[in-house]
Amino acid sequence: MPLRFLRRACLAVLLACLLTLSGCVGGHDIENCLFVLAMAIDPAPDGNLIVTVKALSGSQGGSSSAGGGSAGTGEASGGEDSSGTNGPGNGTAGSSLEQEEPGYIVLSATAPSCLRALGLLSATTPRTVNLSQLREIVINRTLAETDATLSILREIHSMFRANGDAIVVVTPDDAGDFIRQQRAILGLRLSKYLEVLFDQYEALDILPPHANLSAVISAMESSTIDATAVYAAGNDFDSTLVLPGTSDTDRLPGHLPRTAPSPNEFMGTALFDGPRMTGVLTGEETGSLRLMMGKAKRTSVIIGGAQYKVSTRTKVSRRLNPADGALEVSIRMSLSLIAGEQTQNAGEIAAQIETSAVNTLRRLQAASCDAVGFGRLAVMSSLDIPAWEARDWQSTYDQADVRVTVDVRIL
Amino acid sequence: MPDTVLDARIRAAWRARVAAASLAVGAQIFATGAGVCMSISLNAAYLSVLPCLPLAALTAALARWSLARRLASTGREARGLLSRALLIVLALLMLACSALLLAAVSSLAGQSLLSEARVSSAVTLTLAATVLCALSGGTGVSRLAYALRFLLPLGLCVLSLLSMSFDSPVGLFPLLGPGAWQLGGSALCALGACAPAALLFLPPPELEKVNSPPDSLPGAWFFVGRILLGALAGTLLLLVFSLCNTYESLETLSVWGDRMHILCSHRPREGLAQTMLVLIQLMCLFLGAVCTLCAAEHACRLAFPALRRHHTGLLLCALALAAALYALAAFGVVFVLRAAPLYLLPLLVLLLLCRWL
Repeated sequence: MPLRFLRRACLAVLLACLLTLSGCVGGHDIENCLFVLAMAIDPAPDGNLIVTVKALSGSQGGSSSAGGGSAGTGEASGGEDSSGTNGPGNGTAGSSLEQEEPGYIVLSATAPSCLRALGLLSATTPRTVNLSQLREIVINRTLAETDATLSILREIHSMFRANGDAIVVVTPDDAGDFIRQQRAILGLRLSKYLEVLFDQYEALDILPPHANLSAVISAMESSTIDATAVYAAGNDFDSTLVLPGTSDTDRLPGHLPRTAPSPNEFMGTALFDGPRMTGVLTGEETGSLRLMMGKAKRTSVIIGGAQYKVSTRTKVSRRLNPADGALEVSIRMSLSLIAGEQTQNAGEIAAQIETSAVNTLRRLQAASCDAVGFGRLAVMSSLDIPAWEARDWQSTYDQADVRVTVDVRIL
Repeated sequence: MPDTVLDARIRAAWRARVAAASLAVGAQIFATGAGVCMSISLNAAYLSVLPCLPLAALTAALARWSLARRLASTGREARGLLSRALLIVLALLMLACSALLLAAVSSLAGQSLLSEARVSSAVTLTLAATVLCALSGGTGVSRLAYALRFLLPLGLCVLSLLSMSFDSPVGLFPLLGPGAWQLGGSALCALGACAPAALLFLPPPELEKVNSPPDSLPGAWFFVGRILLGALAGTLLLLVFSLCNTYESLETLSVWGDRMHILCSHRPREGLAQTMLVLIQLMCLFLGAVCTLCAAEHACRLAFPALRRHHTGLLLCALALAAALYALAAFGVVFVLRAAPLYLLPLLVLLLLCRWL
């Protein structure tokens, strides 16, 4: 009898525990969420930040927003103004840049930190801010050159569970205007447009590898490698520069001699030393960086008026010379001529690539940015963390000699 | 002929039992390594759990020796030799292991698949599933562990490789992490992680009423080899985690579930590979919890025969687990992580009792 009672009592208690299950909890209706596709962060007076987000409005018609520069939020309203001006933005309320493309809404908030700004947006928008579909985080260059970048990105990533695949972009322009004037000029969806845009430019080797949010945070925290982000700028098309040079991508975005519906240009790399931006690379230099990292994606290159296909996988090796601590990169590649007339022999092409790589490495050293990852080789000789941190790798890296050897075979 | 059939069935029962113990040991090592060692030795957590391997092997060898000694006597006398004290220590140790593994399941699920759910939902789901699986006794889960003995390690291996980025061994260096002292300290804390190997002191439930001849017991290497393989799997999973994260990133991870969630910064999107990896991790932790719960219930039944009726032993163990898990949900998992190093004490008591009784 007592055992039967004990058994029944235990069963009753367990059933009571099971009642804490109340079906599917914590589910989020799609209509309840504000899916942010692009986020921009600008500095504001008195150490504040302006956080601007571009999100799906979920409506068929156009929407407009207000309050770009003050502590307020934009409200979705009906009607579409398709003036679509692409002039330079001034980031203040009521500008023509507040007219958005159909289906998207731009909101902004100003607060002392990114966390509080997003909190303000959540509190004043009748939707839950959801960063799981974030494609792009644009940071103003002035802000990127401070130590605040890492804490901002960490807050976005960990507190708001932002999509770790979102690309980090640095712009010298107003970041809020940068995302306001971003349109899905090809295709229907801004999210897909941005995904394809970054994939396409990365395939041309004019954007750095691993510029996604989680990789940038990891690199900023790491002492063995430095972070790189995409460098972008808007073009107002009234002062384009046609610069002489051997390469059309050996320049920075912002004044490229072109016209297009979208003013935003993505080309080049923002270099970071720890959490702070310290320099930029042009598109061509970014290609050299990718080559040295073993991340070159281009399968064909144009050299001296001839087009070559990269026949086999380029072999890249990096080492630290134990004798003098020099940074050494060795590149072996095979090219086959597919169009045009060959005007340079293998040795000349190799010398050209070598010069470009050495210049890029020196630019990286000048910016104290170990984007190639020589630190990951240096750390192998340290047995523990205190020994590594006492080594002062940063000073060693900045002053080390640079040697690049390139071996090109033309098939 | 009948003897050959009996021997084959006895051996099959032991194979299943050892597979279950091996799975539980691997799961416990991974959970303890992620929860305790990683916060002390950062990227060298996989090194700090290496001393668990010889201790797990010693436990398995002693269990085999103890079983052989008991089986050398007659059946009824054999059970009497396993004193009540030893059984109570074993039951409590297995319950503690089960609580830690269930807490690990809840924590990992809360940081991955059930990130929007309440803590109590994850805890109750896990506990209910564990108790239901344990209703059939330890035989069912042992056979399941044996059936999955190749699939689980292979799945973990393949999915880990798919989740990693091979740019460079990101977190492997510096090799000793924060230093030799911290590594030694975390190794001491991790020694108790091999405690689930102690369930080998108990014969398989289906052999309780069988008078197994001493020759039918598999050799010592049968036990030791399989336990070592399970322990190695747990260690390698910690190595994968170190390969995906730098020591600086590991310093910032304060949530236990995040330290078990293998997500490379270069491949952050939780695609199919990462999700499948989380599911297999959860399954291993869950099966380990069920194995240890069944062993606790088995030890309780042997110590107190009155608990045999109507699953009373299981219900009491489930209640104890529920109380522990709800306390964790209310006060946080820090208490179970702080208690994890103390599992070494009852394990040593068990080994000494076994030697002297």
